[in-house]
Amino acid sequence: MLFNSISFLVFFFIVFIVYWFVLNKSLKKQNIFLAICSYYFYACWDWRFMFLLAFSTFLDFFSGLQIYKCDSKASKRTWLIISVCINLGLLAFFKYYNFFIESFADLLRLIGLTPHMSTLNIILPVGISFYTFHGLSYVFDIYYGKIRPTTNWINYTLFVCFFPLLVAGPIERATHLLPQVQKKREFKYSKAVDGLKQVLWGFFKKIVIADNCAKLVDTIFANYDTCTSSTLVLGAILFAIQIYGDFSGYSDIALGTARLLGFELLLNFRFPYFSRDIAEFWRRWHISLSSWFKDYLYIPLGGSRGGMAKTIRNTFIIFLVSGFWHGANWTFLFWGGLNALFIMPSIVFKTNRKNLDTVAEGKLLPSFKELCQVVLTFILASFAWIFFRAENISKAFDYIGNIFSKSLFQMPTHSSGTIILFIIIFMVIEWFGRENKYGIEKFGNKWVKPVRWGFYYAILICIWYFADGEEQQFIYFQF
Amino acid sequence: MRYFLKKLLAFSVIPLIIIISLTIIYIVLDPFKILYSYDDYSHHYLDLNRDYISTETFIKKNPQYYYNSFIFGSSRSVAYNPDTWKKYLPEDASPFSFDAFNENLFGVYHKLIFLDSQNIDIKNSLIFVDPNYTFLGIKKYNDYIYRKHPVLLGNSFCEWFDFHFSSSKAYFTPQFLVMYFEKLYSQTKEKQGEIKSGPTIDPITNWQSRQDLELQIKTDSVRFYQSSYFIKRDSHNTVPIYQLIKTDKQKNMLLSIRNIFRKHRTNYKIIINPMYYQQKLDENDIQVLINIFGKENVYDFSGKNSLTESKGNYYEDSHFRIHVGDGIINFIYQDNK
Repeated sequence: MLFNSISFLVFFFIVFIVYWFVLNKSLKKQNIFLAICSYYFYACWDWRFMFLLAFSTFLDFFSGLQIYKCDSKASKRTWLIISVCINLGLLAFFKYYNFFIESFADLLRLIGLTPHMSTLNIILPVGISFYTFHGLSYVFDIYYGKIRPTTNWINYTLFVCFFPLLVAGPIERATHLLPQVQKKREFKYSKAVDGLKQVLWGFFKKIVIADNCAKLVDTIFANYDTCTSSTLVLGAILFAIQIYGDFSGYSDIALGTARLLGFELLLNFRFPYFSRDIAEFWRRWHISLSSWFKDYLYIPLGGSRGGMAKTIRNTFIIFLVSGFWHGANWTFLFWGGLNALFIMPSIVFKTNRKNLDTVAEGKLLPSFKELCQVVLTFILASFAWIFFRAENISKAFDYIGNIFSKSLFQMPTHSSGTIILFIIIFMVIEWFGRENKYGIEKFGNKWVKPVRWGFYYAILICIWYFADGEEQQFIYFQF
Repeated sequence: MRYFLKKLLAFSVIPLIIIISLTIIYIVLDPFKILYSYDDYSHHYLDLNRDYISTETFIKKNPQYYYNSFIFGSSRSVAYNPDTWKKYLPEDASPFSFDAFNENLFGVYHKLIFLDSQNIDIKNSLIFVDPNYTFLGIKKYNDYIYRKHPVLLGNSFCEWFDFHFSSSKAYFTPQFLVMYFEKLYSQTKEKQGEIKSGPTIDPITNWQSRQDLELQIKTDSVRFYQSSYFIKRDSHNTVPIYQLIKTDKQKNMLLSIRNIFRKHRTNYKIIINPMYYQQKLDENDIQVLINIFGKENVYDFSGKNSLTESKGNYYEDSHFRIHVGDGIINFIYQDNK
């Protein structure tokens, strides 16, 4: 059941009405209802993997209780290791088994051997990367003493499987979401309106921006060997826009939907393409994942406290792991490594914490220097995205190699004025909203109602116009 | 909460008015001609679901005409005139063109199952095979224009719901609505006496023909072929078609079709259509057809031949003309004499 589908709209409408009108007097019933709806939502993808989700949920719930109960550090660590190994083992099996087999076979062929290794026809359970990390954060937080485990398995189940974030995040923390699950939620008009607006903006990003970019991007990447350089540059830029529109659009829909049910989820994107350097970019892109790796991998490895060499090592590790988390392909590893390289200068020269505020904060336009910084950061990010999008490393290098030719100064052969116009409008709105939670949070709030509503109608018409009946999957669902 | 719902309702008033108005237009004007029964589907300004029309026409008119000779195939059946075929059939033959857009094995199979279940006497049959997609898939289509009539798929509530849902989904898209209202408007401006464009559908045999295009060609063939859609034949579009009949499910469907023909002692022919891009049905697939239906019943006009060489045998790069269809029917039946 995709967010951008009629079935989801019907599903959510029913959930909303029952949740607030029928069950609002009982927190327990609300939580049970949401948990059931979440499992139904997940079952619509593939009912067989409901059992895997249930198993992972039970494992972390039980491990958390055991970690808390144990007196000795060694016992606590044992339970932590059990939970981590089983969770990551399942993730590794479903996501990486074939990759390891094929890579190992390729390695053997390189040294002249002819291995006969068969891969399995493994279906990747939707959302496994997200809910695994979700559950692990709970177990880690108990181990580090940040929270106490919950004894209410319904509340814990809801924390793990809450449908807005189940299939593609944000990767929530128990310290943030579990208290909200355990506390009575009150319906607030301003929150509900805000949630609706964020959902609307999320759909705009996904359907109008991302899906339209995708059509051109797919054509360009599939035919990169016959495209002009300028077309390839356009393809890279459009993919950068596409993946942002797609993923941040999904996050907006998830956050808005959760807010309509009285929950506040973690912000996952903070206008990353207005970053002045790569370090700032990674503080604004897929925040829930970056902060997860920072808290549960980077800091336990020593973070930046063991000297420059260790800092560089730890930085490379988290970027490589982050790349690998995205999928079983060398391109994702390369993408992660490339981003690590990009961030290195700022780490070495200790400028990675320079730009903590928002670009041109309080101003209408950026300075020339800021503009150059933003453009350069965007170019670096888009360059790295080529590896993320390409089928394999060789094709990514071919793509990049083909960019550097005379046809760089010709008009792109594959282009669309309509899409470019919408992207410009979109980026302008995002620019004006860059100090807020999402692009249109405060956009037009000072306008008179007919004009403001006209603006929302215009967004709805754009979504309706470009929806074309074909429900396009979100990119991050494959992770 | 109540205030929120009131505001939401107030915001929804304009969209609701638009949706309700469009729904009323859909119900009153029935753009796809699927809500009510019609005697004539000719010259409609929109592409209609041909499978639906064929099936509805059959259900409505069979009690009167007792059809017993059936043409099955895709939109390329525009070339096959049932009256030409009837010349070679016994006097009591009552032909019916039971074709559909993008007809595939799945569609032909279900039509024959349906006819058999209705105890229709299938005395004669022509099945026209398109090398490029008759055997490409065995699933039903989901696009409103290619969807099978629910009665062919079991006549369940779910099938009817899906059918009407996909049509209304197609209707409620801005692209369709803009095109639809433009066509409605241009239709009102059409002059009296002007030859109507679009397919002509024979009310008895259900034969869908392009008399409008034939007239244009007759009037000014040079101009017609200048504006017609033909891509130059080259190595990119004349690629060979590889074996498509590979699964047991496909073979079982073909066997079921043959068994129905045997049960009814049907006089049948399987004809592989001549394609403008000269694609040839794979030899293995032809052999499968021969093994199942018999060499004497399978006729292959695909590939490079005198029919596919000439542009003048086609309206555009997909559909061949009536004289080609007549020629094929004459050849098959005179060959048998």
